[in-house]
Amino acid sequence: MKLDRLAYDPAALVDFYEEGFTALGALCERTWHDRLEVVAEGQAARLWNPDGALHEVELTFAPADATAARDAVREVFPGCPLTFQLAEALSPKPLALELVALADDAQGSAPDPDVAEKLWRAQFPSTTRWQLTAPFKAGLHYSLVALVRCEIQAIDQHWSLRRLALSLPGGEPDDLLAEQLSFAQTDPVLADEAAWPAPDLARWEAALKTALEADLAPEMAAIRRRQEHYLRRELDRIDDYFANYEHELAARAARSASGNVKLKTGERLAAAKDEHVRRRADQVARHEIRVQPHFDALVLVAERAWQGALQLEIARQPEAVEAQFVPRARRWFRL
Amino acid sequence: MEQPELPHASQDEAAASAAGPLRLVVTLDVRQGCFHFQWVEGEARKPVARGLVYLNDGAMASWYILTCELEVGGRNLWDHCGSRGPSARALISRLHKRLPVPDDRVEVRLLSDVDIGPVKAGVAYELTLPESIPAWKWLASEVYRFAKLLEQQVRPGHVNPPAEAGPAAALTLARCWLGVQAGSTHKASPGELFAPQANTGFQVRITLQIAQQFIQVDWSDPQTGQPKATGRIQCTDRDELTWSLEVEGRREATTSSHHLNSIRAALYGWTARFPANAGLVTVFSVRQQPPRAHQEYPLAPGEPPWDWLSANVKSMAEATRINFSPLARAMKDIDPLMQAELERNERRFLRKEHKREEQAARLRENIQRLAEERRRREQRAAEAKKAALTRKPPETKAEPAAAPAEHLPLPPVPTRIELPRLEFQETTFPLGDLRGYRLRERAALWWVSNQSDDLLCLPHCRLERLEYQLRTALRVLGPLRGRALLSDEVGLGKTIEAGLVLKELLTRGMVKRFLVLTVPSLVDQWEEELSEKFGLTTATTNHAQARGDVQKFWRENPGLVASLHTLKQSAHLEVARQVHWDILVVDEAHYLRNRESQAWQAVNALPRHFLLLLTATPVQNSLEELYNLVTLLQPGQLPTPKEFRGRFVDPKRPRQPREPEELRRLLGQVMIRNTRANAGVQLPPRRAETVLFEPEAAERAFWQQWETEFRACLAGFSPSQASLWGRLLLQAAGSSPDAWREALHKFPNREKARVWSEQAPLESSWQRKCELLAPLTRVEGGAVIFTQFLRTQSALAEHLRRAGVPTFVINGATPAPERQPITEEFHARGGALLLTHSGTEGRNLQFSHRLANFDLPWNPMEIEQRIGRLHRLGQRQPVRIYNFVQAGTLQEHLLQVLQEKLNLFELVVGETGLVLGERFTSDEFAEEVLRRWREGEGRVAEALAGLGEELAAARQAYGEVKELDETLFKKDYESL
Repeated sequence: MKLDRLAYDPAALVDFYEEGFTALGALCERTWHDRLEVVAEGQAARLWNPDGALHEVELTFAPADATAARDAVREVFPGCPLTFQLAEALSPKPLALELVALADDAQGSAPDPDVAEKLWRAQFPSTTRWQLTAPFKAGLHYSLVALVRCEIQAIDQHWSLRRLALSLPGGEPDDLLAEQLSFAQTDPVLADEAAWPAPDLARWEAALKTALEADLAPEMAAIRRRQEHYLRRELDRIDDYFANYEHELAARAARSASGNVKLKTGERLAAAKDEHVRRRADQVARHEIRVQPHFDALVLVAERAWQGALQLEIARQPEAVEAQFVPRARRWFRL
Repeated sequence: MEQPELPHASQDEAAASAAGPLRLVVTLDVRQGCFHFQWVEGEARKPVARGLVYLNDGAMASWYILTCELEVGGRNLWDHCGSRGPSARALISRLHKRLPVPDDRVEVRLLSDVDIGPVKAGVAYELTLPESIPAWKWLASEVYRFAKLLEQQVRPGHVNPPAEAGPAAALTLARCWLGVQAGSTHKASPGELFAPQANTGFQVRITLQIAQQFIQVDWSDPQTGQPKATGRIQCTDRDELTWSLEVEGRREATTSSHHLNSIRAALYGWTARFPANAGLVTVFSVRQQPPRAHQEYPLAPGEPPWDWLSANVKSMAEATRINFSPLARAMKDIDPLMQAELERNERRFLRKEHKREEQAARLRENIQRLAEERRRREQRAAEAKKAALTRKPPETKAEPAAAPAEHLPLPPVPTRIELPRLEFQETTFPLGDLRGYRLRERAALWWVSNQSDDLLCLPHCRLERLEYQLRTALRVLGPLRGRALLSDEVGLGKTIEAGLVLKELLTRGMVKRFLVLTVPSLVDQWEEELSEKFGLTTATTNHAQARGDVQKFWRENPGLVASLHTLKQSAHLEVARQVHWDILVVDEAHYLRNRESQAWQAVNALPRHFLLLLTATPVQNSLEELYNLVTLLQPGQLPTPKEFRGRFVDPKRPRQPREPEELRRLLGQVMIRNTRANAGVQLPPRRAETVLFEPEAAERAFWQQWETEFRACLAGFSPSQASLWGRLLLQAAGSSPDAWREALHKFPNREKARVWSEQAPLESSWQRKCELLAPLTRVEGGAVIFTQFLRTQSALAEHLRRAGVPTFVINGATPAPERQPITEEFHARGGALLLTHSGTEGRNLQFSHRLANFDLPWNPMEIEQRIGRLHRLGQRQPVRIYNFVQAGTLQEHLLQVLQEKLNLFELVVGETGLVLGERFTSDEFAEEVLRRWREGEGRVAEALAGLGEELAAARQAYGEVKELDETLFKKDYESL
């Protein structure tokens, strides 16, 4: 899920600075609606002093339309380095795999089998027969949520922030969880009870890459179209240039009766062909689209789920399946 | 709900619109709970159309609450509106457009099935409309009120079933119109603080005194209108509100905090004492300009005002608490004169802002005009070309045109997702909540949102921000996509522009390795500029590593400044071409004008992503030089060499393009050229004066003797020794006796040195030279004095201090943090600032305009650098340059050559290097001077005159090149 960028708003930014610096252990006081006095030491002070020595500063949050020269030390403005530094200071290094359990909205009651069947059939339409062979058993479902900053380098640079949610262990994307996480409530008791799965790095990396590709697809399509347009223009220009050049050389060789001239022209033609290939390859390489994701948070999420043993018939093939029904998502996940 | 019936109409719409002005009769029918609209024509009031506005059947489930049914010409039309003001206004506006009726021909009636004040049941009562508001506007506001009332009626849990909602709402509206008390239309919900009052309470008038910053509430008897009580709410401290109440002449006052609960409690005290009739509440606001009460309608009819009022009191408290802040108190205590001054400044600022806006508007207009002119010009040119083609028969002798290139299929655009390895630290304790995660998410979101289209690197750069330089950098990064020919006029800061592009790409992470190529004399200057202005550390070909481990030098340093001469060496080129450079900057790119040259071939062989070529004179002899530069940047941007020649180069006038418009169009895609005119950089003139002093006869004789003996001595030395000692002693002799004697201490011929040192009668001329200098330091602003020798500097400092002149000294030994304070003190006090070459680095001295060359370096570039410290952006006065030389010496002849032939003191900073060009590097020039001195025994002036002729020719050639470039490029490549 792509998170919308925030418009530069000094008031919102003051809030963020106050909360951020407080989280880093600094003392903050709003001295004016657009000013924040910060007394920082240690981690917070490292934004100014590498040794973390005590630093006191009154930050001024410039209006969005301010045009005067800006002071990067005391002013906060669109694109100012301090905002980048504060945001980076707030993300833990190395990244921590955080654990959280979501509160159960369904009050612990098992789903109605009829409803569960309907939802299964909606989710897997090829199922012809569905039977619950044993009553639902309460269990826990785990998901992995990753917060990813994506840098797309094409002719210019694009940045976006994405929240990806994957169901474990299969790695199916769970977009609903990604959306609902903004407002989700937690259940610390459930978190203590949970048997947290061991990290499976290779599988998680592969699933995250797949999910990221899918999430980026609409944005990448537009960028690729633009990039192809530029590349086409460049390649056409190069092709025209070398076609004309080769034509000139050929004409020159045809006019001359000298064998030496013909030889030299032949050599030049060969060199031009090599150069042509090199220029094309250079342009193709220049138009490469590079996506560089940066992980900002990883959260392992546990939530109540109902485990069911199912007897299915899919494409006339009977199959016994263990699956989990997640009430929050109203969705089945195969185990 | 029983649907009301439409009144009868008989005419069609066409007839209606053709029959002249209509009259509209609007009736609020209380029994049916709807509005009837009837359009009639003429005195006979012949019905033309009719309409009905009533509660929508599906209002509970739909966003619109009113249905409008219209019958015109036998056709029925339906329309709807919601319970918001704009929606109701839009509905009435649509009716008005369909059947326009002037405001003075709108009649409003009230028909009720019960008695309401003067209105008797079953009798239509005609209302007088307010004069202050046009009838249609009033109608729209009443329909809106009706919609709001209906919305309250159909709200879930309301006492009235939907069928009774229309009549109930119409009844309430009718009572509002007539100002008659009514039964309750509002049912209190449990827990509501301000329970609705039975409509038996007082009439209330709320006045928001916005100008005087208080709120007044007046209670009066609804029957007699007699005032009962007056309350006033006012902010009296940072967290205090005073609630004063005047009842029957007695005053009472209480206070509350600014907290909403506190406000509500105080307000509750008033409402309990003076219950209000919700239907008889009026709201007024009094603003500063004009100071008149305006009636407001913030409340729906019958809506109790207390929640709204408590919110307003809270807002007022928030807005006015600032008056009690320490700053406001300080402002009260401020001196009236100062206050007046502040106000004057504010007015001045506003005027300036206004002027700036006007200028911006003019600029926009000009840009539009110029764009339009350019478009027309291009159109004319295209038409002319087309016409010429149709006139001109095809040339029979021409070679067959090249077949259009077969375009190969577009290869797929490579895409790479570089997912980093998933590395994390496992945690033991689960999170109790998601607050920490959400903060980090917000931080990441701000990080992403903080990405800007502006230059991100600016806060990290130490430079004066010049608009044209920033725009140039943005243009290179944007439309030109990192490949550009920067051809600004000399002195406009191409280095800064390239540095900005480089730094920005580094800041954005788009560049990791960069290479700057320049001429050998500028390698150190580039290193210094990149370090000082952009905080970039670089390795250079002047470092020992470059001469030692070539592989390591080219491969391991992420940032390099190299000389073109070093790159051309095969050992270096072989390695450099194997490294992929993210960005390549070539300074003095006019050395790449010849495609066959080693330099062009070497640069072309380097793999690079972005490429910047910097030169003020891209064309020297013919347009083909430009072709070679552009081909390096964008092969194919210009056609093949032959086609280029045929199309753009006129053999009779090789410097004038044939199709200038087309050439400009093509070049505009790769080239930026700022001129002084467009950049607004006009420096004041420079004025050079020679301060000549005559030595005494004995001293003159000594120098003549010494020069003869010294020449003879040098003849016995090896060439390198002769060069070293010749340049050192001759330049020291022109500086000071102390510098000369110190140099003599290490002279290989000790005996000669001792004799010369003892015999030299130099003190009197030294005294005279110092005396000539002293007056310069006593004028306002003082003087900046340059010397090459530390001994001269210290001796001069001693002399000036003895003479009582404030003297400041900076040289290579002065610690960097102390240099700026010394400069600032000189700025403040005047006097003399003594600088050596290493002391001048990074000093900007444009606040001073007097410069003394106490001795003359044999390197014109160094003299230019001295001048450039003062003669730069920000200098407002003509710069006066005083050159101190002793009559009859080598220094005097050299100064004459530099001044008269090279015109050194009149050239713009940066031009000297272009004039000297490839003929002399800085070192070669000094060698040439020494060579001519050694060969010209007794005829030094004649020997140097030859050098002068060479320089004059070089200057003339440069002038021609400059003129050519100005003619060729005019103003079509500017970044602004």
